[in-house]
Amino acid sequence: MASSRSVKILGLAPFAVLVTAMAILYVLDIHTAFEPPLLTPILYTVVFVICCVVSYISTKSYLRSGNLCLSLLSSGTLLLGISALISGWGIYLVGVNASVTVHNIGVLFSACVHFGSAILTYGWPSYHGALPFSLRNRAIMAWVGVIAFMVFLAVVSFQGLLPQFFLQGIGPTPLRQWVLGTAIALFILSAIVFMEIHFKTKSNVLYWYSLALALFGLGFFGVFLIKTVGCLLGWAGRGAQFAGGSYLLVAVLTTVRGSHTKEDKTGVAETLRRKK
Amino acid sequence: MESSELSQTVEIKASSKVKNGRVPTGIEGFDTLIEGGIPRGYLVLVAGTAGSGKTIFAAQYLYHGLSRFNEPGIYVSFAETRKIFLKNMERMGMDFEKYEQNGKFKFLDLVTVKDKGVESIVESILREVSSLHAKRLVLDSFTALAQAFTEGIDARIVMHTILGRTAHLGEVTTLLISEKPLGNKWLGGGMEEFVADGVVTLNYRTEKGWMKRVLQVLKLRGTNVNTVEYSYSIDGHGIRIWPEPEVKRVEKVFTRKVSTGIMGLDSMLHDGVFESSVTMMAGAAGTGKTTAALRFITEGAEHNERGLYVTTEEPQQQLVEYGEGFGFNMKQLIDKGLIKTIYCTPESSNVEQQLLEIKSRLWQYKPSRFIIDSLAPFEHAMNRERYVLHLKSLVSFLKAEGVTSLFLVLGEPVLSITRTGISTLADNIIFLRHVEIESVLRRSLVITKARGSVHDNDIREFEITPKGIIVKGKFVGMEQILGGSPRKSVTEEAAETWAKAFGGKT
Repeated sequence: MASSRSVKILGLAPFAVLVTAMAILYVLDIHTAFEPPLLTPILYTVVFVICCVVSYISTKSYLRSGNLCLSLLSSGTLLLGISALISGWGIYLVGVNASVTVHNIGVLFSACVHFGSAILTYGWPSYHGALPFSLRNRAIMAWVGVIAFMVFLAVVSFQGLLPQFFLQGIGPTPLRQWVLGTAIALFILSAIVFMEIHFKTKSNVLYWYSLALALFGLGFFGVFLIKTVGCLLGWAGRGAQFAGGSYLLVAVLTTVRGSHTKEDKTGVAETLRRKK
Repeated sequence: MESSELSQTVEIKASSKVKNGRVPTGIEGFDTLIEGGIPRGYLVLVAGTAGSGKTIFAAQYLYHGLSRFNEPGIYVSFAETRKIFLKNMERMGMDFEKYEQNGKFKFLDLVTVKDKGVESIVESILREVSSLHAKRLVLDSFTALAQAFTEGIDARIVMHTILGRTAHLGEVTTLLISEKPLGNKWLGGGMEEFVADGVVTLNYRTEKGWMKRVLQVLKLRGTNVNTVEYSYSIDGHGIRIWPEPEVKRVEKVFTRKVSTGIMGLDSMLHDGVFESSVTMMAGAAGTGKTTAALRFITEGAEHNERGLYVTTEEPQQQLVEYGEGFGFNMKQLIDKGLIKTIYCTPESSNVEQQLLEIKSRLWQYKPSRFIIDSLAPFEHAMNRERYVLHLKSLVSFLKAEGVTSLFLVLGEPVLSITRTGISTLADNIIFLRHVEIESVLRRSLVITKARGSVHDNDIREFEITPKGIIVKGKFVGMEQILGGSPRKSVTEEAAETWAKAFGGKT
């Protein structure tokens, strides 16, 4: 199962493969775009579905525990999923710049929320917040807020109301690089924080979730370097994101009956409390 | 408080008219089995084991003739003295002495004259029949008389040539009592049954460990008889034959819904149950069946609908106290005559008789709501076929009368109703069950059947509070609740592990 030591080590292999591929493709600097009809939208839709599953589980967990980390996690994965969905179909239907703009801004917000969740999990694993609403209302507000924000972002971007992010064949604008660069940094930092917690608690959920965030960070780094959307380097970046989506799914599967370990059942809060 | 025990007489009228040359016996429920009575002039053998009520049967037959038809009668006893007979019958409300004094009745005490010889005995009987102009004659018992014969053939001669002829010529209808030893397949001496015009047997039968009295009309010349065994009882008013349960054809259609008194349950049933419907509520002890039933009946009474509550589990007073404890105003409603309770203990007497008596009470009281709490003692005391037949009869009666009923069934929810085959009789089936979740005993409720109505399919939690039953929401994230081994659903367990992984306490 996904919890065994050998499988965990095997889970690191995609990093080596993808980093190597990206390095080679960056050096080769091939600008030819490969966009087979509907392939990108379908693949991003799969990522969107996985992100929704993770967001749903996180929301259910939040309703059980009231832990704010989980609400942030839910919002973060939902932002990531919707960004992927709009981006995937946007390239096909609207154009490169608009879809890159929506995607990169969505990813930045997702990174921020994930980082907040990681910090809360690390520092205050049972932080509940103090909002004057019931858990259910808070969860609904979070979902509605994320969806409304992404729809708003899509509308203003598709209307050309936002600054330029990407010029096909020329490359990204400095603004886009700041936005995406910040997102990458926050994803990587979040992955590190979650991995650190995993080392302390031995939670398999956190292990796979941490690797998933790292793969997303790597994937975004791949697209950070491209000058043409759909080039081979871009596909390596997309591949890392799809791998990240798969790892999110693995993280969810480790929680399913019969798969979770004793450490998963004990919980981070309890384990960290015992270690102190 | 209007309440009573099931020991009072229930009026099942005996025939009091002579029809088509027949002699009514006056035994409750018996004459209807033989087309209104015994054909005049017939000799009928009444055979039975010790204590089966042969003497009472015969005495009732004679007394009915004396009191209703002014028909003189003679009781010839070879086994019991006059004094004992008169005393015993007086206890049953039969004052033979009165008729003896005005010359309508004669008790021939032949206990001590058996050694006089057969001819002498027969002569004296015939003389008395003739002088009294007797229309009804009882010989108790032929077994004792036959012991006086040295040859077996003598008994047959007496039967054929003397008693038979006399009875027919003089239009004297005779009951010949015969003693049937327990386990003996012959009736008496083994030949009376062939000579007699009719044969009635009184026996015991063991059913599920309980002794049950059964009467069977084996033959009656010139009469269509059903040879099935009929249950009968002996009480302070003599013998009473209990008719076979009748399943009525229900023509009425009810469309009005009535409240169960439990708001959450009404909501699950979409405004309650249909008027005249039968609801079965099954659950183990302590799941809240009685509380629900008390609320059901008081809800009706609060709207001036009369209710009859048959309890087999606890005494009436206890039940009333329970109701008061929940603030259901049981005492007040009973005082107003809107609720009647009956404490019935099927284990203590003939169980089929009790069910028939319940029906009789329903007929008299005419309630709008009816409860049996619970069916378990009836189920335990009867074999499955009889139990289902009686319930069918009761259900059809209730429906025909427009009574909305609630039957409580004790035991594991699904099995308790399906194993006995009574589920088809119910319009609504509600299961109550204890559920252990995280070391806390909770209660669940589910509606598995609501004939002709949509209903909520959720397995809901309910609580018994000081104000009665409160139905809450469904068991979220749990599965296998009905199976008895509740556990968290896959997504719920995943969410729990996920929450723990990210620091939350669940």
